[in-house]
Amino acid sequence: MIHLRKRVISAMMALVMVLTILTGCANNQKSETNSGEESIVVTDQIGREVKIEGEVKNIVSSYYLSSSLLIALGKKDNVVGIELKADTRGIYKKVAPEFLDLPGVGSGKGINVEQVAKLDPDVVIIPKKLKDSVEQFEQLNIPVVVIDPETLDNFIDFVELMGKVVGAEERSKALIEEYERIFEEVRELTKDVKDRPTVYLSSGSDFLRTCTSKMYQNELIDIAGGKNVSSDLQDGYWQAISAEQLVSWNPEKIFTVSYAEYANEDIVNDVRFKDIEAIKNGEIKTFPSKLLEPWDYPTPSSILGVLWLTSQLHPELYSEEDYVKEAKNFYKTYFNMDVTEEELGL
Amino acid sequence: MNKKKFWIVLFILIICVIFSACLGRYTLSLKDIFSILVGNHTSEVEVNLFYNIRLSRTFLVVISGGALALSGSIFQTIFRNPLVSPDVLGVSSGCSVGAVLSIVLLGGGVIITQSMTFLFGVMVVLFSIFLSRFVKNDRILGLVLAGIVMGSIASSIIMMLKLVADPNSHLQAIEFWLMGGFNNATWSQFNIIFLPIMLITVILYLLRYKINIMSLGDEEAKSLGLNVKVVRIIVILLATLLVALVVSFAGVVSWVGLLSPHIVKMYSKDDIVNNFSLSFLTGSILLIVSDVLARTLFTIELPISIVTSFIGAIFLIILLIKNKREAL
Repeated sequence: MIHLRKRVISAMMALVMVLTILTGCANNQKSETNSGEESIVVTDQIGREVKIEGEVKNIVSSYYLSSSLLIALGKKDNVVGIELKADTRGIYKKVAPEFLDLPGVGSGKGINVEQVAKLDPDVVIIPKKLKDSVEQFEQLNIPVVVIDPETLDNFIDFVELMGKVVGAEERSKALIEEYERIFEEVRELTKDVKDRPTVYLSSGSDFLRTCTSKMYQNELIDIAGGKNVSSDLQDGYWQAISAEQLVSWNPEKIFTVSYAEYANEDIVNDVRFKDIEAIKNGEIKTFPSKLLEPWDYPTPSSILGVLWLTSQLHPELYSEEDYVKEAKNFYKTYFNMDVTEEELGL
Repeated sequence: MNKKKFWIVLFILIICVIFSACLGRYTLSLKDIFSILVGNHTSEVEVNLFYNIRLSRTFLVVISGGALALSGSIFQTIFRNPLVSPDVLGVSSGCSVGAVLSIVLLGGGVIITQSMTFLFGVMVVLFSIFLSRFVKNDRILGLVLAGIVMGSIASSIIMMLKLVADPNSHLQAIEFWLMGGFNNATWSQFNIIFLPIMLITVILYLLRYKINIMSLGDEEAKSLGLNVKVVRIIVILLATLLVALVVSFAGVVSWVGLLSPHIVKMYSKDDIVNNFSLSFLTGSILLIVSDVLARTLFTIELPISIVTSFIGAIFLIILLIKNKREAL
């Protein structure tokens, strides 16, 4: 019995090895030529120096933001392991359906080091939340890069870092320039706006939770020419407020995040909120993109959130047509895909 | 004598209710409130705010606080232990499992979460009672042990679910739920729980003499002709239902059930027969004060258990010091 089991196991292992070699070959054929054989040293986002040797062919990305960015950097075929729950991401389904079949290695709460080691990656990308796992990877001699793209500045650094790590610096530079150009343009457009509509942005878990001024979302509303009603809240992230507080803020526009667990109709039908300006005027919308990826926090295509919000708050300064044109162009360039107006939140 | 105390406590509660109706993040003056009540207020926004947001919340808090406190008094009487809270048989932990399951796996809709919470809370207590039957000699000890077992199982399930929950949405919802809060109070929720709570309270009121006899211990109660087993199960289940009803929409509200009976004992050393309504009213006052603090102190809304735990712990220390002095 034991012999038989051993034999089955070794047969399976052989099969896995063959498969790994096969997929490895497939990857080789598809990937662009890389920075070559020499090794590079990068500083990751918690200040560690990481040495990466040779060409990066196999990448394990245990965070949604890095996985999505790898698509934009044209490296999706090199990803061999991915975060759990990849099937909830619209953008994967659309442009990287192969991600859904990759082995899941971890989530924000933990990463399975053995599972990663089995995939034999040239580099592992982990979010700062998982930094306690760094030591284990180092002991296995697997280069591990820690990322922390939660604010805008960090996000830009993250794009630059990732470009270096995977040998796609040209694309990462282009993406950063695109970000900076659009931010600059929108800032220019809205800097003299006197009439700033008041905006309430609600969280994913509960309509009565909102962003604080510490968050990217607050900056987003500001740049797009709006006034975040909750900008006085300074501590923490999504903070709970009372229904009364919302009524007394009386926002002109309400946006719910695309990953909200509740429906906008429920808010509209809630008798407590019926006198709020935004509800009375039907100015409650979902912040896109529900079908692709959220734009209200830094994701590779989140720059479109700035444009979308500007066209929502100030159509006289930036029209919907301009927005659609720019957004379609963006997805074509970086994700090589055509998007519909629905996907763009219209 | 207790009549007088009853009226005083009721009067304090009414004052608290008025305060609660006047205070909030949206400023309404006493004059505004008067004209709203009379019905000639001009601002429709403020009328709606007063009736649909503030008043619904105040009333919900009043019956919730009362239900929790009453349940606490009854548990402490039956278990003959002043440190017992309604959670001793795992009702809150069970409710939490239901809520977390609903948030993580079923999308967390209001109705689903409430039903799941209620169901799991009651199920866990039923199971605790079932388990307690295996401890033959001491029924009370058996119940406490079974409660500990079920509570641990429940918290391990919760930890497991938190591990797989999505940190951007589910995990926040879970955390907030576990700390409780009334910020989603509406009249429809009030309507759902008002009748059941009142009905159970009336039944328990009718049973109050029997509950009191239980405090003498099993042997004495039996010798007085009480069917101890049956009464105990019925009363425990009813008191559990009270807590499950509150927790199902407000989340975990800690300390109110444990502390209120002690506050009552501070001013009335009577037994449960005479302290019945005082317990209810005291719980209402305690929770309404906590809730007003939770929603008015800061722009953000504090979870209710942060306030009740803090007030509760301080109160208990005061009680301990006071009792020690008396003993000396």
